[in-house]
Parts: sequence; C-alpha cells; structure tokens
Amino acid sequence: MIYFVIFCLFASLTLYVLFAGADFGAGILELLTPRSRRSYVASLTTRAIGPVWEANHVWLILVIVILFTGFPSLHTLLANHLHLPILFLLLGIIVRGTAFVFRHYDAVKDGLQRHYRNAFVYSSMLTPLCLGVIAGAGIRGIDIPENPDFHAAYLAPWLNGFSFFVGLFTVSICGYLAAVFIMGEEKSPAERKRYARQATGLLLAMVGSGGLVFATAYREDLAFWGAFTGNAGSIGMVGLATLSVPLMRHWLRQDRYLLARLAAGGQVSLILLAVYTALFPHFVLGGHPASDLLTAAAPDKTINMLGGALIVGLSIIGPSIAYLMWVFKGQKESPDAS
Amino acid sequence: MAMSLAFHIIFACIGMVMPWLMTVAHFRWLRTGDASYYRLTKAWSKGVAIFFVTGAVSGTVLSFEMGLLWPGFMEHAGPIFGMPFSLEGTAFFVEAIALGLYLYGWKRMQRWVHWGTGVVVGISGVASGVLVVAANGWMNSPSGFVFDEVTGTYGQVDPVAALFNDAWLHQSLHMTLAAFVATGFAVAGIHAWLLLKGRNRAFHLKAARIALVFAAVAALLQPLSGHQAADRVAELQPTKLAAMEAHYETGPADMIIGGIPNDATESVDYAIRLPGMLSWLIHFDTEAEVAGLDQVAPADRPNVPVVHFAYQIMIGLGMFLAALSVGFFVLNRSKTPALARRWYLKALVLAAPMGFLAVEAGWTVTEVGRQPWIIYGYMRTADAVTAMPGIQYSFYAFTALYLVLSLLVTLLMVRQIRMVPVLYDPAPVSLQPA
Repeated sequence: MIYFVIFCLFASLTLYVLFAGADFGAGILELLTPRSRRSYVASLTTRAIGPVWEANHVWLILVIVILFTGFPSLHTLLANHLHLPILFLLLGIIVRGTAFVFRHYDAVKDGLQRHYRNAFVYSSMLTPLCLGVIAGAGIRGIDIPENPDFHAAYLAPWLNGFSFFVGLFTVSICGYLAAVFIMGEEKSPAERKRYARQATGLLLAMVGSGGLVFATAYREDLAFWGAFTGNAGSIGMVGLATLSVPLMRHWLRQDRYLLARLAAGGQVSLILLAVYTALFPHFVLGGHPASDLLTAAAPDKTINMLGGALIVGLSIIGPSIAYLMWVFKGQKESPDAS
Repeated sequence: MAMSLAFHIIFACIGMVMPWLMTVAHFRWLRTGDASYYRLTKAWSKGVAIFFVTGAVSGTVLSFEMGLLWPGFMEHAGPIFGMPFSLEGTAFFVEAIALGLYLYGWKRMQRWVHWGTGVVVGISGVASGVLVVAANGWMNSPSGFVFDEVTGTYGQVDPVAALFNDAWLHQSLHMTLAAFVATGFAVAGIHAWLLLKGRNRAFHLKAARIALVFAAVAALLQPLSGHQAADRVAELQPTKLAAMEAHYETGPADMIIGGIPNDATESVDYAIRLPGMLSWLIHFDTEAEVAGLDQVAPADRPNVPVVHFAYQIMIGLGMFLAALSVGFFVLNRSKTPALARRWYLKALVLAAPMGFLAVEAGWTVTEVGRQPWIIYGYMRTADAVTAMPGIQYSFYAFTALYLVLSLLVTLLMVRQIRMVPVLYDPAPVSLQPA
C-alpha cells in the first residue's frame, strides 16, 4: 500500500504541474502578448481555462493532504524550512484565483479590469516560480546544520541559484504547456502561428534554464548531479522527452491537437519522472531522516486508510474529470460562459 | 491562523449554502418556466462562483497554514486525523468539477443533468464542511490513538476511530445548520433591503422567500442541536461548558444570563441567575451537580470572560433569528404574509449580519473554550507553534491578505447587487427553458 500512496503522491504532483501548470501558463502567455492582442487573448484564456481551472488546482491539495497524513515528519520538515517560499506560493495562488474570477464576474466592467488583469498575469508568473523554487530547494537538498541561525534554517535552503533556475525552468514549462494546449482552442491560423512561435520560444527557455540547472548542479557538486547522471533510467527518460518534441511539432503541423497535447504533456511528465526516479526513495535530498519516503511514512494503519481513501476518491474523481473534459473539450458547440 | 479561519468560515458557509438556494431557484424555473427564476438562478450562480473561489483559495491556504504555523501539531496529528482531510479533498474535488460543469454548462447538457450538477455542488459542499468540522471535533475530543506518557508519542493509530470521534456528530450538525441560518438570513436580508427600496418586487420576493425558508427551518432546528451539543460538551469537555456558563464552583448550577465573569473572585458580577436551570437542562434535575471551573488548575482554564460573552452573544442572536423564523411561518398564515410587511423586511435587513456574527461567536466558544489545549488533554497550543523566529510577520501577512480579500469580495458583491436591476429586471427578450 505504501507504494500505491507514493505513486499517488507523485501522480498528483505531476497532474498538478501539467494542468495547473498549463493554467499558470495561460497567464504567462497573456503577459508575453503585445498590448494590442491582449483583450483577445484574455477572452480565449477565460474560455479555455474557465470551466476547468478550479479542478486543475485541487491536485495541489491532494499533494499536501497525502504529505501530512502519510508522511508527517517530511511535511513538517518542508513546512518549517521552506516556510517563506510556501508563503509566497500561497499569496500567488490567492491573488491569481481571485483576480481571474473577479475579472470574469465583476458585473461592472470599468477601470478595475486593468488591475484584475495585472494581478492575474503577474501572479501567474510568480506562483510557478515559487513552486519551482520549492522544488529546487528539495532537489538541492535540505541540510540543516546543528543550531542553525535564521539564515541557515529558513533562507539558505531555498535562496540560492540552483533553486532559482529550477523556478525559471518551471515557469518555462508552464508557458510551454499552455501554448501547446491552447492552440487547439484557437480557430484563426494567424493566431495559431503566434502561439506556435511562443511555444518554440518557451521550449528554448526550458532548454536554457534546464541547462543552467544542470550546470549549477555540476559546478556546486550537488548530490543531485550524481543521483541523476548515475541513474540510467533518468537519463533515458530525458532522452525520450527530447524525442517527443519533433513528434509534437509534427502533429501540430497536421492540426492533430489532441496528439500534440499528449506529446507535450508526455514530455513534461517524463522530465518529472526522471527527477523522481533520481531522487527515489527520497522525496527531497539532504540526508535528513524525514526525507526518505519509506522511513518517514506514517504507521501502516494510516497508510492503508489513506490508500483506501485515495482509491475511493480517485474512482469518483476520475470519471467526473473525464466528464468535465468531455463536456467542455470534447463537444463542438460554442460555450456560453456567463 | 485564527484570522484565516475566521474568514474562511464565512466564505465556506456561503459556499456551502448558496448552491442550495441556487438549485431551488433553478428547479422552480425548470418547473414553472417563470423567467424571473431563471434570472435569479443566474444572479445567485455568480455569487456562488465568487464565494466558491474565495472559499477554495482560503481553504487551500489553510491546508498549508496548518503545517506552516503548527508543525508540531501536524506532525503528530496528521496521521491520526488525516482521514477527514483526505475524504474532504475528494468532496472538494467533486465540488470543483461539478461547479465548473454547472457554471459553464448552460446549453451544453441536458437541462436536468445540468441542474443535477448544481445539486452535486450543494451535496459535496456540505460533505466537505461536515468532514472538516469532524477534524475539528477530533481536536476537542481526541480518539483513535494511544498516547505514551513516557515517550510522548502517539501510537496504535486508528484513523477511522479518529474520524468518528465523540464530537463529530453534534459539531457537524450544529455547524451545518448554522451555515444555513447565517447564509439564508444574509441573503434574505439583502433582498429585503432591495424590496424596501422598491426594486423589482417579483424578483426579490421570490429570492427572499427561498432564502428565508431555508434559514427559518434551520433556525428553528438550531436550538435543539445546540442543546444536544451542550449536553455532549458537558460530558466531553466539562471545563469548556463551565467557561461557557461561567460556572466556577462545582455543584448545582444556575443558568447565568449576561454578567461579567470575574476570575479573581471566581464569581459573575451583574448577572441574571435562573436558579438550578443549567443543572436541569443537562440532567433534568435542578439539584444535579455540574462540574465547575474549579475542577482544573487556573493554568488549564480557558479565558472565561471571552468564552462566556461569545456564548451569550451566540445564544442571543440565535434566539432573535429563531423568533424571526417563527414570525415568518405564523405571519404567512395570516392575510398579509411576512414579506409584505415593511417592519418585517426591516427586521430582516437588521438580521442580515447576525447569523454570521453568531457563527463567529460560536466558533470562538469552541476554539477559545478548548484552550490552553490544541489537542484537548494531550497537547498544548503553545507546544505546537512553529519555532521559526519572526513568525508574527507570517501571521500579519495572512491577516492583511484576508482583510484585503474580504474587502474585495464585499466590494464585488456591492457592485453585483447594484447591477441587479440592469441585469435581471424583466428584459424584452422572453426566456424559455432551453
């Protein structure tokens, strides 16, 4: 059962990055769009993510619930030492969600719209940055010296170049996913071309920031470097991820958007999987006893209960999401978003 | 944390109850084809969307905040009371999906299926609420583990027993009813105010009536649930009950109305006393012994005046709302129904914030009444707080954020309500059920 729970943990995290990531990405794309096209892009964004964005974000709640129920000491370790970036992440989530909904539902369309928009696009950028910084801190390793001062305990784990580059990498992933995902919603070929250009640019940003991540890991001789390069599985998966890029482009050219989306989603999932594989059985590096998923697990009874609850939950959630997607993405009628 | 919860409880209550009002209006529209019900459904569904998102983000933040601020608590409590949270996650997920379908699904689904997604929103919302309150019940009445005095560890964890702790039922029942009372009266109050201003009568009359039926039924059931809850608290947390009633000395207990509890003299000044009534309420015997605050050392007592005042405020507001509810049903049997009387509408406007004040007061009773414990009898609140220095800035940040959020939601609601005549007054286009 413990392996099933760990599987669910990684799976929810991946789904969060894929779906919420694309969601954040939609805001990032809006930020990168020239002023003249913004209102058009904004309405497409609302149409594309309006019905699904709430559901996309619940994956994060699943991650946190699995962590504190199933791996309490690990949860405590993260909550303690990554307090600040998590705080910023939460601020970002609040601002973004409310700005998005307010922009759409405010009955009076006036000057406030501009503020909603700014709040939405900038928090769409900052939230995944924080998420990436948190992930980066975990990958780099949470290693707290004895009797740490404030800096060593609460800043050093995440305030460093490596974590920042992982943050940039995460932001590029989100923008990239959104650009590929949203192309299927777009009717006009000219606009599609614009998104294709943005996708290419963001893919390059991904490669660039990914390169910086590895360069830093190598230069600073982080444990992650050895764990990753010494793991044939991880390297193979990154190779596969790279191979999926031409495939995705091919499908895009043929206007087969579902396949292109799957390829882009698969690419990102493979990258994440490569990282999980390199870390496993650790969730974060750094040698703290709580960082090992197998030893930090809660008592068997709790794990079994959690596994059971996850099975029940997912068997309800799975079909519901499929129905949601079918209603909004599978059918052809124009949506009536009011 | 307390501030976040204080805000979240309001957002969550509205998010829990508004879908029910909305689906009733929707049902009436589908049944009667009366276009004003359609407009009402649309108007309320926007409210649902706004409150759902604020409830959802404040809930997400809370799920993190517990760990950020109370790592000591979560490390031990997580495996034990994680069960309701993992189930709540599911309920919340379903709610988010159903709401997406409902809000954006007009004309995309068979109309009764579409209506059904609204019902699912309502049911999963209430289910989430019940589960979260069950987790709080566990803090009041911990079960499902064996505490090792020597090592200070929590062993033999049984999450199912923790979920069905002794406090889950009465707390969830009381809270769910409270949500209906508070939201129902708030919504009815807003529509009553617009009725008084002579706005579109057909629309607001229907709105106020739907909201009031929910509110009034819940407000009349609430005293019963409250009585049962007090009985259970007397049994499970005698200190809390004693603080609520400001009952210092163990023995036959008077019911104390009002008054200022004085910790120094262990008595209540300026109070009205109903001799033996508290004993009678709990044991049906005016001479029966009720445990007082003297059963525990002063260090183990909550802040008596705060708990007592909050409790009295909650009861007072609850009684007023129950009286309004009785008035509603009685007047409706007469020639002039309640909503046609101006004084009744004015009373409703006055009552609009009362339900939420009562909710906050009641929540203060249960939380402050549990102090100094975070897990009643096992872990002190002071031992659970994070060791991070400068943590108060985190508290301030969250508080400021919630204040801004509430202001924004209020502003948005005001703008929404101001636009009601423009958006929902009878339009020339005829609307038929699609």
